[in-house]
Amino acid sequence: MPKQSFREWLETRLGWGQIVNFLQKKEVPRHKHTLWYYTGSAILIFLVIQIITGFMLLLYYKPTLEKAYQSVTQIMTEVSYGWVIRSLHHWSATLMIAFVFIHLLSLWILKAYRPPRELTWMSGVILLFLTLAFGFTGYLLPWDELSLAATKVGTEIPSTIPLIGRWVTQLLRGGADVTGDTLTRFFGLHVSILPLSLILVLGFHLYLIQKHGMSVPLREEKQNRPLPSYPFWPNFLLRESVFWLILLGSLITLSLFLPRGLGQPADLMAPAPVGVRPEWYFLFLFQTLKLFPATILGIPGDTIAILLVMVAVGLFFFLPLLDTDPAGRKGKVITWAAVAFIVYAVVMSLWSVL
Amino acid sequence: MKSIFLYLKLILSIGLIFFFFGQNFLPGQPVAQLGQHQLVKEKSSNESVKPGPVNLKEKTAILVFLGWMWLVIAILIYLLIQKIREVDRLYEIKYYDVSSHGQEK
Repeated sequence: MPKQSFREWLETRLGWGQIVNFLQKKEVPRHKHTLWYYTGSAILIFLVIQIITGFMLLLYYKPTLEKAYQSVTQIMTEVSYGWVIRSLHHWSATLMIAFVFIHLLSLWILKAYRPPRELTWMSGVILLFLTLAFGFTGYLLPWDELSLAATKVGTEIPSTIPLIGRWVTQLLRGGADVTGDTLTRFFGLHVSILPLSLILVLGFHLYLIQKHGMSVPLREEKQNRPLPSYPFWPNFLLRESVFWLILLGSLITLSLFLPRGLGQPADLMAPAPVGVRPEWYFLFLFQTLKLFPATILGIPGDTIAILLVMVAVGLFFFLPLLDTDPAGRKGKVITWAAVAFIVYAVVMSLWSVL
Repeated sequence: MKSIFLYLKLILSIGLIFFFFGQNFLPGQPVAQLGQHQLVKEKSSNESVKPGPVNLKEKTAILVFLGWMWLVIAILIYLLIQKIREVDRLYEIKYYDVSSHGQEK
């Protein structure tokens, strides 16, 4: 039997040379907005860190009313570097959500949802909501007083939806109020249902990106000249690696300098503590809901607010179908709507904090 | 030259992982000594378990680690930039058109 190198042995069995060939043939367009392409892989990097640190936390976390807080305290005080792992999990989640927003908003402004990439955009919006659901369900798991109060407020919001609202709230809570059942339910969602859904939608999203290639900005496309490009592997991936290293360094620095703390244990009978606020990514929504009066024309203000938010989400999801003339006046209005949304979200979030 | 870069990157990456995690985060192995790590119990404040370094020694260790980590990252970025220049040059001379069939030059 002829002597084979380990590389050849693996190549015979896995055929990864074909994958390398495919990646070398995959071209990445080069233009002044290429930087925004990196945000997609940044999300994947943070997702991998989330999975790894999540598994580590899972080794000690106990999702029951009696032991949830105690197990998080144990992670932070008794397990070696447990506080670092929890902090990494928290900060990678924060940065992942931030990059999901940046990624979607940059694609909105660059109009990357133009045909044939409508489904890529829609699956991306679903991924945004799955990521937010991860953040919302994960926030309750430490079972401290702030997480309990924020979950009470958060799960109360859907109850204002006409007809199905109360049912949705009960489904989320596992009863009329937030209890240990809610904790178990959120844990199940956080570690099984949401990850499975995310993998499925992400797989579909990545398949579409492979199928249609990376979108070129409208302005570049209109010039009717071939854009310069380079291969995905190694030229683009090496550039991305530089970005990943900076992100990894920033994540570790943030986790060590600003570690995630733990509040007082949750007490189901106690009143909500003063200054309850959701995580930063829900602040603009929280402030918007606060601004609505109790009733408008006899209809509860909360109901009108939640219906308006649902309409906005619907418009956001179906954006590619609405923007039928990306290069025209309608397209410009939609681009300015993205800028207006960014300004609105920042102002509302700051207002909520200050 | 290429293999030196490869080995350097490998050593620095392994060093980063081991320096940071060491053998301390072993599943199912709580630390023997309580209070050895970053723990401050503040009953009076809003935050009951506040993580972070408890003394100057631990604070210094974290700063030294961060300094080392950023140095490693700077070196890796330098090496990556060199590599990017090399692969860009290879692409310009259409090296990959020949090697795309699985045989490198």
